[in-house]
Amino acid sequence: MTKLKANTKEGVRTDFSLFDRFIDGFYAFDRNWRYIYINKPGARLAQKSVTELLGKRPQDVFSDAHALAFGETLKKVMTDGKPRSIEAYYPRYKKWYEDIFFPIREGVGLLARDVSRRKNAEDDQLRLSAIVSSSDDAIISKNLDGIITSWNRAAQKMFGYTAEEIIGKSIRTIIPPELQKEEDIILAKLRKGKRIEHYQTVRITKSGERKYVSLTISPMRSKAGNVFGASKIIRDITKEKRNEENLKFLAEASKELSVSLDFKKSLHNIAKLAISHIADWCTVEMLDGNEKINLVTVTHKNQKMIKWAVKLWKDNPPTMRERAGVANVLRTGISEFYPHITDEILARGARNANHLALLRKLQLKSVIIAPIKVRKKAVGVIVFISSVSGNLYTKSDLSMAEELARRASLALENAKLYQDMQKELMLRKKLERQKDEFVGIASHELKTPVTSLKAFAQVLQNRFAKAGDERSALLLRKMDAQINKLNNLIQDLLDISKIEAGMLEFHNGYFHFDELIDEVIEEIQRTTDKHTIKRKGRAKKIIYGDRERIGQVITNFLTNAIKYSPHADTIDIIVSSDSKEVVLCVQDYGVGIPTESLSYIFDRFYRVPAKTHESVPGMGIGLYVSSEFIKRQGGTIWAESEVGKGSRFCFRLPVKNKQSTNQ
Amino acid sequence: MKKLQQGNNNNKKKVLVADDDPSILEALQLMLEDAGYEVQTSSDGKTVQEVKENLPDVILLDLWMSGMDGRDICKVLKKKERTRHIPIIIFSANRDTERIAWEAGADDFITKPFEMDTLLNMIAKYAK
Repeated sequence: MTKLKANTKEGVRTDFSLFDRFIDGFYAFDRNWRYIYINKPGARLAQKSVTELLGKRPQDVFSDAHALAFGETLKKVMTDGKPRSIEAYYPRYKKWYEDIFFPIREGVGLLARDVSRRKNAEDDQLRLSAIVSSSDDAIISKNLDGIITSWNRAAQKMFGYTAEEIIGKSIRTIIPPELQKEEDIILAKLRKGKRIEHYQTVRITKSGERKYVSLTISPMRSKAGNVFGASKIIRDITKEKRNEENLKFLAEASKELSVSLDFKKSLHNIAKLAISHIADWCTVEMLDGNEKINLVTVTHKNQKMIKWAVKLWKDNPPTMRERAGVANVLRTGISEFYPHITDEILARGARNANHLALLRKLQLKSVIIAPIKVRKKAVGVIVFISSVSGNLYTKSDLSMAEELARRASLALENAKLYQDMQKELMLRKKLERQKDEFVGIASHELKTPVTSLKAFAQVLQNRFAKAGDERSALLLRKMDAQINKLNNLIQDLLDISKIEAGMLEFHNGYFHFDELIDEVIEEIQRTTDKHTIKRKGRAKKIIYGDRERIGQVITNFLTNAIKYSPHADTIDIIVSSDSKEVVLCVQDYGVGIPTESLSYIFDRFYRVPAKTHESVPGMGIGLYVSSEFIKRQGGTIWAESEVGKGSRFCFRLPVKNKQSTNQ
Repeated sequence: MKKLQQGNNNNKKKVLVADDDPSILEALQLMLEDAGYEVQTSSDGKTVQEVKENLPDVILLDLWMSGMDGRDICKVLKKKERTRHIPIIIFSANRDTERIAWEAGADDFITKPFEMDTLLNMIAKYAK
């Protein structure tokens, strides 16, 4: 027990011992704000010892004393002597105290009590109701009969009913007729004390609009643990659902666009998809070459309405003269968006009373017109219309529509590109056909005179021989050999054309390789007096291939050998074979080919540079054609050479190559 | 019938040559006559197709006769009862047409230009 002499003007001492037994804190201040008495609970509340406080002022001990309502109130009571009470939060203790200030003779007495628990409970309650009332989610409660017992502001906003209207009514009010069974299941679960989380379903508003919602329902229990009702959190997921639906539609529509190159068919299918996802009615309109707007496709959820839609369009087709709507979108390439079509808008847009009546019949609610563009120019529009469903399009629907139109534009460009490509392809095929025809005609035209020339020469040769004029017969024989050479050149040219056109054909069969070599040697020998063609070795094989073409290769090797060994008198033709292949080499003893040229020797039109090679005329196609023949017959061709000593040209062919059929 | 020379009635084998190039016709006529054949020449496909009397023993037919394709003539001749048995040799400047000749029902094929001996051997074979 602490007793102090109070320094009062009157010298009278107040006995504070009464407060020693108080459970609340008590403090006495003199007029100079000094602590003159503190009881034990008071010291505890202040979290200081009595001696730490006595004789000091609050501001001496607590740095925040002035900033608090405490200081303010103490000052007021000191001044006017009127008792006051406050409830104040003391951050230094993290507690709420109720402070009652009253005048005493020495100054001011203060009773303080910790009211944190009560204050916190109050706050929680306030916070909770603030949350409930400011929540975007509808939070409602109902009893086990499904009667609504509370209804927050969001619920009112979401469903259109005020709390007064709906409290006391059944929750079934907001359940669509076809989903009434849901409530039975929900109530059965609740009675068993089970929770329902994020259940997605549809609820209906006062105005009849359907909303996608996600429900979380928890049973409410009494203290005794009995379920007496349920709290329900309803989240409006219409937007998410619509977005989801939009994305799904976009994905399906894109697929539709990518699978078909028939653009109009794709558009029709998209319009069909649109009515199952996002629109009640969808049209596609395209500009034709004469700037006339054509209706490409119309779909409507209600089949019967299609004829109305078409009639409306046919009776009042949009023209490019119009300032708004389809024409405007076609002109500007910018979409138009009418989120909410009122009767006023209809009346403004209608051309006459009949038109307005038709428009009204269509119950337009919300419209999006998005452009389809080719090379940045709008060539068509996709129109999404919401009518009986009552859906109002949002910005996100608009972006979806624009995205779809953009994809349709791409598809259209692709389709156009494809058409162009088809045309190009047709043209190229035509040109190729013309080239083939040319090859045929050239072959005929060039060979026809050669044919009669050769026939005449042979007839004459035969007649001279019969008449015993061997000299003339020999001359004609030489002439015939030159005609053959000419014919070979023509054949090479034709073959090149065929190789390039990819239409080189082979006429394969079995033949005696040695016999072919002998025939070619005999023919070529006739063309030269200077050289003797000597055969070394025999293949003794019947091979499978194009006899004439292989003969052409040997002819080519031999004529080259003659041409490029003007100072030699021998050409060797070396033949060998094993079980799998035959090898033929033609060896000359002429000028030879420099190493750097050897690798190009089989290239088309390649001719060994004249510097190292005494200029010998030639077209540079014989070896190219030969190498193509040998390769396509499944063989290999190669050349070896040494400058000044001569060259050796060889090929190797499989004996029996079943693969080397016509190609 | 523009130039269908009627032969006499000796025992010579008759060869009908059809080509739209007069030089080839002339050269072949000389060649075949030298070899002992009686030769009819025609530069008109249609007359060949309609040949009825004095049937040849062998027909030598150009594949690309102007106006009428040698292939069609061959097909028609091979279809007709009266001419079916006559061997037809098709000749062409284009080797790749050989298959067409076989498809048309030709008995043999030879490319232009040809060696005299090869042609004479071929005709001898069919003129028997």
